[in-house]
Amino acid sequence: MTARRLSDVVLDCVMPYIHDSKDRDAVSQVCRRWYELDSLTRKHVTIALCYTTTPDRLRRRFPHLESLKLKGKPRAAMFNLIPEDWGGFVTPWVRVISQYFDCLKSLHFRRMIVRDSDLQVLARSRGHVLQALRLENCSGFSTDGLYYIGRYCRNLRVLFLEESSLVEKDGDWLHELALNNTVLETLNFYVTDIANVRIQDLELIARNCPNLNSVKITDCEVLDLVNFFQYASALEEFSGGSYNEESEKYSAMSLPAKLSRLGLTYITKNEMPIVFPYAALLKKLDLLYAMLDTEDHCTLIQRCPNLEVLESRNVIGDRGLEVLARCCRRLKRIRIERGDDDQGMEDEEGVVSQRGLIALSHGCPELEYLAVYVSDITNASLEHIGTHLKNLCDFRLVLLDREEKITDLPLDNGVRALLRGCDKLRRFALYLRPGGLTDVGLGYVGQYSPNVRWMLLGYVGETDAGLLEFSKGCPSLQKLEMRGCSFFSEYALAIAATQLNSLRYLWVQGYSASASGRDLLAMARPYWNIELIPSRSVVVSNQQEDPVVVEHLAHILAYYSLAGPRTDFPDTVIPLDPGTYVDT
Amino acid sequence: MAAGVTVKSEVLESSPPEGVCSNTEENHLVQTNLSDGSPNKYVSNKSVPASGLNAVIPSANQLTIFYNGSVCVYDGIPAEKVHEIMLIAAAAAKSTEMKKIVTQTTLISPVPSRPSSPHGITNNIASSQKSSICRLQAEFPIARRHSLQRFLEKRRDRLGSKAPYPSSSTTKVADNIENNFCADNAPELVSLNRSEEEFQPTVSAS
Repeated sequence: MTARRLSDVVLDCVMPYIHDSKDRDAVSQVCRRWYELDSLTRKHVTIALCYTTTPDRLRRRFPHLESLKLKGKPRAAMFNLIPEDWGGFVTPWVRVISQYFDCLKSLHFRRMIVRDSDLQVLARSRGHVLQALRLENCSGFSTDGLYYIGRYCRNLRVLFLEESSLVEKDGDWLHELALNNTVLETLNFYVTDIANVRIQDLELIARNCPNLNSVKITDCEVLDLVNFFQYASALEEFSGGSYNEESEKYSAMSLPAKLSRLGLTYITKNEMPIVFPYAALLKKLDLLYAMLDTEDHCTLIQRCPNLEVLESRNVIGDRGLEVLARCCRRLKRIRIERGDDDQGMEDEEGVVSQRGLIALSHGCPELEYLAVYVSDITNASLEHIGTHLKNLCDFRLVLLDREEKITDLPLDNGVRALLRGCDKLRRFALYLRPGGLTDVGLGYVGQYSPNVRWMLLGYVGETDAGLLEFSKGCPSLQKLEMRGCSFFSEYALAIAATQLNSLRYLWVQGYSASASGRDLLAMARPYWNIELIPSRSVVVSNQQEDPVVVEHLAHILAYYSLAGPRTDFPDTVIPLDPGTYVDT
Repeated sequence: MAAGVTVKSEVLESSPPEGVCSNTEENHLVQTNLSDGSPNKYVSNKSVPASGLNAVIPSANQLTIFYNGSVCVYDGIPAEKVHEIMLIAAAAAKSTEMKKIVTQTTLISPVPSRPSSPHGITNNIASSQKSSICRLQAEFPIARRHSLQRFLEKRRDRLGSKAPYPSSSTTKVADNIENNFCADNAPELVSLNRSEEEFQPTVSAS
């Protein structure tokens, strides 16, 4: 009896210091008492897919949460591949949060549908304690909903709306935030459609909030921000702005002295010199939305010896990556997105290939995250990565379809060398073309990915045999996304899903559909939901060109859920019910 | 009723010649098609009224495509698919008639569940072998992040308004369209004609 009480007391003292979510998971499975203690003391939970459980289960299991992160739509939604109304509604969660989660300070919704009424309920019920609100890549709300946040959430330190598709009615929400908040640290409406920003409101926020250190906005004229920059003396991160005036006017600009993370939107060669005095201090540079050519990239990068994070488009070119490798040896993260396919503009030299990858692998040994779209690739470059980038945790490669001839395919041996060499790899994406990776290479992926938890595979393998060989490995794989799999049958996909022991989420687009879809049922099991999104035609309207009809092939989405099949699916989603097929 | 919609052979052919995606071959095909006087015909089992774009197509079981002297017959094509194919074909035909360079084409090969003739089987096997890369790429363009897509659109507007020599920029773009016709544009899909009033399909049963 005394020993039992003593161990309880000790555990009470120890438990609050266990923060890692995996450690917490392990602790909660030891015995009922530890389970209860974990439940009472858990502060943060991430739910990777909002349909894997219910708000009610969450509140009963973890009644004292301080921080919650929820994800909704599949990642493919960021690429416009998922129907807008697929699901991922925050409403049922907000309802429970507003009634039960008294301790909740931080809320993060990602790729979810948020209504103005949700924001109103949230602001009125939790406004006084909410410190961080992140609506990342969300849709469905407008500035009317944000008005309530600005009005009632006076203690908000983080307001993060990056890449959300929200409807702007007016600028009152920002005005309200400026009037009521004195503790804001992060303000982010970067890459949104918010245009009606009153500069005075930004200035007021900068004056009233001494801890303001990160501001990411849309394309306001930079010359209008002179006063804002003077007031925001603690600013460390800034992204946004635009440069519409004569370039000489920008030479007198002063940026905050502590600035170390910078995103330059719409900047051109002519305005680039304003960055030079601060370049040596920069740790992060976001050029995704800059208007710079390869030469400009080289000019700027060689002035940034302390760079740790770089994001850009492939306009940086192999030459830019070579400069990076020569000058930025502390680089930890790099993301090179696919720019314009039209080579007539400043993307003229914008080709990334094995040359740039080899340079990076030699020059930036501390790289942890490498995501790149390439026009050409070789086995040797992947071998170099495997040999030299020993800290790599996240590797993503897309081989663009622009060039017909690729120097060195298939990439079986390069992929094997990379996976064997980078033993810390947790996330792996390989998107090629038919012939890019054979069945043997796909087998290597399975065999040499012991720690990988998330994988995206596109156009890899040749037959069902390759897929099945792959699925014998990957012991840690929890989430698998596949695209361009017309050479895999439904049956092989189903068997692979059952062979991957840790798998809890599967998304596939472009598979060899059987006539009835019954072959998918080979993966049916308790608590495993299977959904189909049939193929559909989408009319995409660009501003410049005529509307284009894009055919979206069918999707499979399958995932474990404690909640059972969801009930809010739209017409575009067909749940696969094993019972129905048994009757047939 | 006896009338046919003329369509570009590339759009509906199920046996494209070798190397269909190379620039040279593509140009050759375009020239051949323009000089060749024989129309390619597209016929459905059921007749479609003149205002076909808005009409509901009755359920059709069989689809027959005539082009370049070949006949392909497909079974079990849903009515909606037939409608979509007709729209795309008509748009392509209109583009051809206006003698504009088609900047966006795609290879469409309806997958038959039960081809009714050995000829159909042969064609589809050949199609699968020869054009797998082109078709897969056409069906599956590499997706671009939504945010980046919007930036690129805005950037084009800005470059257009900011450039001191907009005409040279236009010339550059035109050159690239011509030079990179196949590589850059083949994976994209056919533009849908914007004006419905101009669209007057006339199709009759075979």
